Amino acid sequence: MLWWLLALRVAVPEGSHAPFYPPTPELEKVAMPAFMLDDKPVTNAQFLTFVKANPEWARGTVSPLFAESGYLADWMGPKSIGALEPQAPVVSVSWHAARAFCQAQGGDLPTSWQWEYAADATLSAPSGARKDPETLQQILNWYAQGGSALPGPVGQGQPNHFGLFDMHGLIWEWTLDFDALPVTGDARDAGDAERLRFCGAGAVSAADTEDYASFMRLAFRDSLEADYATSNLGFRCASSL
Amino acid sequence: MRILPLIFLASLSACANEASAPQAEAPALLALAPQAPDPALGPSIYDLKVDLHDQNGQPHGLDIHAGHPTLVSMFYGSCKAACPLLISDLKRVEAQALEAGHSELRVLMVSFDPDRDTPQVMAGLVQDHELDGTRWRLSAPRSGDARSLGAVLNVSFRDVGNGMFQHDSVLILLNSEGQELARLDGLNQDPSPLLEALDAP
Repeated sequence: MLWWLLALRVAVPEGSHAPFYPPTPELEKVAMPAFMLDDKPVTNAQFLTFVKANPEWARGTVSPLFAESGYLADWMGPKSIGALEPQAPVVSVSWHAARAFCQAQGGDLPTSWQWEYAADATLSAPSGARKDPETLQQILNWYAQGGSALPGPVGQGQPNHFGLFDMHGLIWEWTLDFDALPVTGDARDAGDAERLRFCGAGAVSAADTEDYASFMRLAFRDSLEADYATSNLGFRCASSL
Repeated sequence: MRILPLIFLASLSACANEASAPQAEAPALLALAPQAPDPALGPSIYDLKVDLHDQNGQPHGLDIHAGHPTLVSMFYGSCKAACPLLISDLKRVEAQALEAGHSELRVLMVSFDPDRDTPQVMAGLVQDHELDGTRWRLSAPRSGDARSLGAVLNVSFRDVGNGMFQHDSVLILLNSEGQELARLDGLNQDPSPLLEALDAP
C-alpha cells in the first residue's frame, strides 16, 4: 500500500492563535487546546465507503435540506466515483454531509480557529505561514487560479510542521463554524437598529489587514451555505484529544 | 424603554384573546389535517432529526409543532441585550396573529447555548416573559446539534467566550410541514411579511 493511502489523524499541539477577527479588540490571541486533525483531506475513496454504509447521504437520496443538486456531481453514480481519482479529495460535498462523515468517525469538522491555527504552521515552525511573504504569495497565487480543474491526489506535497498535508493549494475546506461571522462589512457602519441584530457584536474589527489570505478564506466561508456543493470545496475531520 | 408599553400590550392582548375566544381553535383542526409539503417551497427543516428538550424538560423533536404554522427563532438565555427584545418581537407577532384569528400558531425558540440553557433557565424565561406555555416551547438541543440547527435555519452564531455569543436575531415562519414561508432578519422589524404569509391560503 502506498504510504499516502493511510488516513491519519495527527495531534496538533496546544498553542495560541490570533484570529483575523478577534472576538474583542482586546483579545488579540486566543489559547488553543491541543486537538486531533486529519493529516489529509477526506478522499473520494473514503467518502464512497461512507456513502455505501450510510445510503441516506447518497446523491439523489439525500434530503435537499442537506445538499443542493450539485452534490457529488462529478461522481458517476450515487455509489460510484467512476473514473475519478480515488485518492483525490472529495469535493462538491455539503457541510451537512461533511459533518455527518466526521461524526461517523467519532469526530467533527474543525472549527475555523482550529483550521487556521493548524494552517499557520510552516514546513519548519508551528506558526508563521500567515506572516511569511513567500508562503502568502503561493497561497494567493493558488486562490487566483479560481480552481477550475478537479484537484489531484491528496498528500503529494510536503507536510507542515504539524504533519498536515494540503492545508493550502489543493482545495478549500469546510469548517464547523464557517458561517459564524454574523457581521457584514456594512453592518458595522449601520445604526443601532442593525447593531441590535447581534448581541455583543459592536466590537468586530480586523486584527491584521495585510493578511489577505486569511481574509479571503473568511470571505469565502462567509459566502457559503450549509447545503452548498462546490467543485473545489472539501473537508477534513478533527476530534478532541 | 420605548418598547416596554408595547410588550405589555402584546402580552395583555395575547392573554385576552386566549381567554375570550376558545372557539378560535376551530381553524387549527383544519391546519392539523395531513398535508403534503408544498413543492413550490424549499425543503422541510423537519428533515433534520435532532433531540431537543423544552422548558419542562420534556424531550421532543424539531417537528414538535408539525401540523401548526410555527414561528422559529434561535437564542441564548443569558443574552441580556437581544434576547428580551427577540422574545418581545415574537410576542408581538403572536399577539397580532391571534388578533387575526390564527390561534393555531405555535412558537419554538431553540437555544444555541445548551450548556447554560437548562430547562430551569428556560422555564424562568417563560415565567418572566409571561409566555403561554401551551403555545411556546423554549428548547435546547444536544450541544453538537446547535450548529446543524443554525445551518438549516440560516442563523449564524459565534461563541466569543465568557458566556457571550454574537448571533443573528431572526424570526422564521414555517408552514405546518416545516417549510419556510417568511423571515424577519433583525430585531424590531415590521412583522407584516410574517402576518401576510400566515394569512395566505
